[in-house]
Amino acid sequence: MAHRRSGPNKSWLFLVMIWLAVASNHAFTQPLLKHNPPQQARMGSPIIIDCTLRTGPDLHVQKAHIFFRSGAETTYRSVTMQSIGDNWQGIIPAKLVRDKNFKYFITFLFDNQTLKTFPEKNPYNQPHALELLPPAAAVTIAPPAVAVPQKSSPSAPTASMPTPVPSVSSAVTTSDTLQLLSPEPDGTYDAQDVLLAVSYMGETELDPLRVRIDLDIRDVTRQAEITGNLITLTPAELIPGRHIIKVQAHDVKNRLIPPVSVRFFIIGQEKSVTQAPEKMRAHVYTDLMYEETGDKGNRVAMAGAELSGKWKSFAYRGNLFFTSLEDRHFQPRNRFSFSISNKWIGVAGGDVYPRYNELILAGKRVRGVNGYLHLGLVNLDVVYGQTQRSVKTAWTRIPGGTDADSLQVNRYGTFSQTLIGVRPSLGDGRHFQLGLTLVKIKDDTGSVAAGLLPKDNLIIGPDVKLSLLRDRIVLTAQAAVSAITQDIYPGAVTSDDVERAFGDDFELPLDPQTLDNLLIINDSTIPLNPLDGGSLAYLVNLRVNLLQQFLNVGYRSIGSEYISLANPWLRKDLRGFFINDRLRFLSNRVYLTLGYEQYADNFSEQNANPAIDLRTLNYALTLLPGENYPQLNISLRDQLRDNHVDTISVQSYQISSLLDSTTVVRDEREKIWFRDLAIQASQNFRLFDISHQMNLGYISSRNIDDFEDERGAGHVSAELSNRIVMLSLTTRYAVPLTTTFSYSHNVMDGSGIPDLNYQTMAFSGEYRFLQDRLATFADCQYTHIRQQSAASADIEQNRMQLRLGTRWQFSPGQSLVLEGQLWRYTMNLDEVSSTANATDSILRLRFDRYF
Amino acid sequence: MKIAHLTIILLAGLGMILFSTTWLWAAPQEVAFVLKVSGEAKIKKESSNWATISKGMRLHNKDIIKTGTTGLVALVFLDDKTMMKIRSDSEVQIQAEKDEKGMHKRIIMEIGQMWSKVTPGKGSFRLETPSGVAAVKGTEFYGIADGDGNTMIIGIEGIVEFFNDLGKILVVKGTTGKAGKNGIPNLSDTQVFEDWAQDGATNELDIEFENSQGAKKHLKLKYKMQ
Repeated sequence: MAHRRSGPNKSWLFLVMIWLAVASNHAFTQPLLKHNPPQQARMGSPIIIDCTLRTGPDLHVQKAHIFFRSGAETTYRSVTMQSIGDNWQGIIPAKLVRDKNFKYFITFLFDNQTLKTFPEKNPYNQPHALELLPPAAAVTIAPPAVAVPQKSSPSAPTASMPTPVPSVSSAVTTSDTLQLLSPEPDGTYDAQDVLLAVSYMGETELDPLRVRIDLDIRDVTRQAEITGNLITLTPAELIPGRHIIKVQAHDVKNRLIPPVSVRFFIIGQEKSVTQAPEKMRAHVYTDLMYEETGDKGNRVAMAGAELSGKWKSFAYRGNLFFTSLEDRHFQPRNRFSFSISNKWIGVAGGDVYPRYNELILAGKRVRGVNGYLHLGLVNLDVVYGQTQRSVKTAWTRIPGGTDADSLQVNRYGTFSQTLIGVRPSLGDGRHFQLGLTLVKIKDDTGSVAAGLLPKDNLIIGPDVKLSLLRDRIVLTAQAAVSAITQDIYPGAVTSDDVERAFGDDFELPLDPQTLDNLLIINDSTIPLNPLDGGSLAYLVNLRVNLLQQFLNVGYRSIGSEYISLANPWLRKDLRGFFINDRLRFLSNRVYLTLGYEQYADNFSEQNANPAIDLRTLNYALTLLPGENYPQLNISLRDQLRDNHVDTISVQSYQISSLLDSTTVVRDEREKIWFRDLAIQASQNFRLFDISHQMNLGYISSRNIDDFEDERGAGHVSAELSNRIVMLSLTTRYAVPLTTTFSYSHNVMDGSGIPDLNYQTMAFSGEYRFLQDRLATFADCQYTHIRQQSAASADIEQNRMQLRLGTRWQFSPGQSLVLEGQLWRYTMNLDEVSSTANATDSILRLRFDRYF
Repeated sequence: MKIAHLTIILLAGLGMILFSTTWLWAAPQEVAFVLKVSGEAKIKKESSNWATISKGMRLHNKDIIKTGTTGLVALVFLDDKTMMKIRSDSEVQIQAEKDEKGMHKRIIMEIGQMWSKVTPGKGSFRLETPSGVAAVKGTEFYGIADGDGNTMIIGIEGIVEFFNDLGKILVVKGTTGKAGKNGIPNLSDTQVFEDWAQDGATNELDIEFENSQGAKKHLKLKYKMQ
């Protein structure tokens, strides 16, 4: 009988419960980023990047950015993403979409300082690459040149405005055309009189999911009402001056309908769209959240402001972010910055994220000043600021009885840490650039009363870039050598100290103390011998974008003693090469990706452990045959970790206090295969005159231990198998309603752990009113987890998540989001034990104001 | 098993909801849209009661539009951009059917005043009143039907064929066709009439001038009549 279990069994059950709770909580709180990257875009057109991010109740986004660069650029630019509920969007300005070799990646920084990125792995070095098509020649209904009653003579619409395209273009074009019914080309209107109406009376109908409407530089498709033969839109806000609307569409047979555009004028004091970038843009927001987890309530308030604009040839940008989570006992969570720059000179103050050399300084937050002077032939970049602030030591008072009380360190303080970096370079980077980066980081020992191991770090390294054929062939190489003193409390050693330690015969070429402004050198300095190569890092990378393929080949070696506190996430003691090739066939309808990496992990073997071979083979096939056919993506990843140990070591230890010796069996054999398979398919179709998109997915992940059959009883096996099946259906109705139904089933089993079985069903919908100014959204998600173990009864856990919210744009540029979420957990241990229930909730109110 | 049952029930339920909502929301095809509204104007769709008409509203076959004493509605047909304005105190039904030749539009007006500028080439356009039918192929005209069954067609541009069981006339620019409820259509020169459809419309004035080098230039001025 279950209720007569012995004590150890209950202990086991208790441990499993804790493990399950932790595991499930981990599963629930892991942020889930969904992004369908566009494969193509058009030069001179803005690129709109959309994604969906789902986080747990205790994880909040601090920053969301799209980093992007064109081929000639050595560093990434960024735009901030804005959120409406779980949906995030950012727009890469048209003027920066100008080179065929265009790449981007997305980053979300959470308040616990973790990151979620797309691509998930190594986004900085392997960003998503887009194929940029030449600018489209739009079919313009407006006459090519018409005199207008404004002072300035407007240029032709196609010259000033980009022509966006849907993410996947169809090569087939229908002879039927869109007919512009309103407004009249070059018509003059009061702002409230403008109505866009475009009809399509072809042999088929429009596909509402593949219509895109741009008003000036904004995508306003969501404001439109779209049916099979009519598109209407009443623009919400039109300033006096010239405006251009462009409409692009496909019909239900996936044929591209020639686009139309129209130029019109709004009466009033003219503010031409060509002047729009000059205007200062600003955004302020507040986000208030109340979350209740178990019996604990937690209030989080966030507020921020962003502004950007142009002044003469300069662009400026400012950012403020305040949160109630700011705590002087932790590193700063508030953020602020202001920058002003042009092509040649720029300065940024506040929280800056300089990138000088991938090995040395690559995006680390510095609170200070970052500036540059780029003259083309000779350039200089300089940064100075704090990479961490001091956090005071926490003390505990120990009562001394008759003696005086004493203080004991409860938590050591964190030193404030200052970074100074400089990078002179030669060449503007279009064809050649040679740079040299020097970075020094040092803890301030006086900043806290008691801290642990204050450090001093010096890193120097060159970088070079060669570019041919307008960045179709790019060779980059970077190297760096570091020196770090792990404890500068004792100060620098002197020549006398060295002589005392090594004898009078030992002579140093110079006194280390004379170098303490550069680096404090003592016996904790690494490396003691810079010539042994352990503190050297380098990487070489060749990228070739020619002949319908994108080849990326490189070699990297990061020494075991290489440390840059300005780039603490760099993986050390790793050496090897990678090659990745993405081929395009059949007018970009077929993509084939092949990749191979071979690294030696722990290659220095300084820690007495064997080196591990890491070999990874990637293959992926993507089929984009057109929207009448399924889009298919298959990817496989095969990785081997092999430390080449094939014997078990048995060692006897004599313990001095005992007569007997004890034997320790060490099984250090590691030969594990990680095999991942992912298949995803999606299909657009029409049913009952309504557009649907169905997605199917299967993911299999297996860890295979080659020595599984030979392992001893006490060995925790690495064997694991995880299989996920996913299904979702998104429907966009003729009315402004979008619904999504999804189902997923996840089965995980492994040697030595209980089997886990997850099933999740979710239904969500969004209905928009008042031409998209008011929207309501609701999600309902049910998750069932069953844990099965031979040693105990099954454990079941259920979670029901409800989410309800509304988004209201109550006036142009002002919106409110009100959202409530409720989680209900139920855990059934067995039929006898009590059921554990819990309810968590979140209430969130967000206000946005755009100027 | 519980989960399996729950899954099946939820799937079936969602499927039914999806099917029913899909069926309900499969919208009929639009034939025109409302470009402008001023004053009091209402619309009655086939399966609903009278509702206030608004800018951007989509019109379907058999919709009825009624204007009040201050009302005016401008609408545009989707196939050929034919524009039609309905003046105050009018009631018209729009009937439109599409075939391979285009969209055939029938405007049933018991009472009221309308103006139309018909785009030639596609489909057909007919104004039907109690005393006659005005068949139009590319022209601009006014149609007036009083409450006693009398109809007046005022030609502005092109030709309108105005007929009933008793006869047929061609109304051209500068002429007016008239017919009583059981009378023969007759033609006369147009007398002074109110060109109400042009109010507020944007007009264009093209002025040609020559500079000192002898080059001819055009200055186009756009203006609105108040």
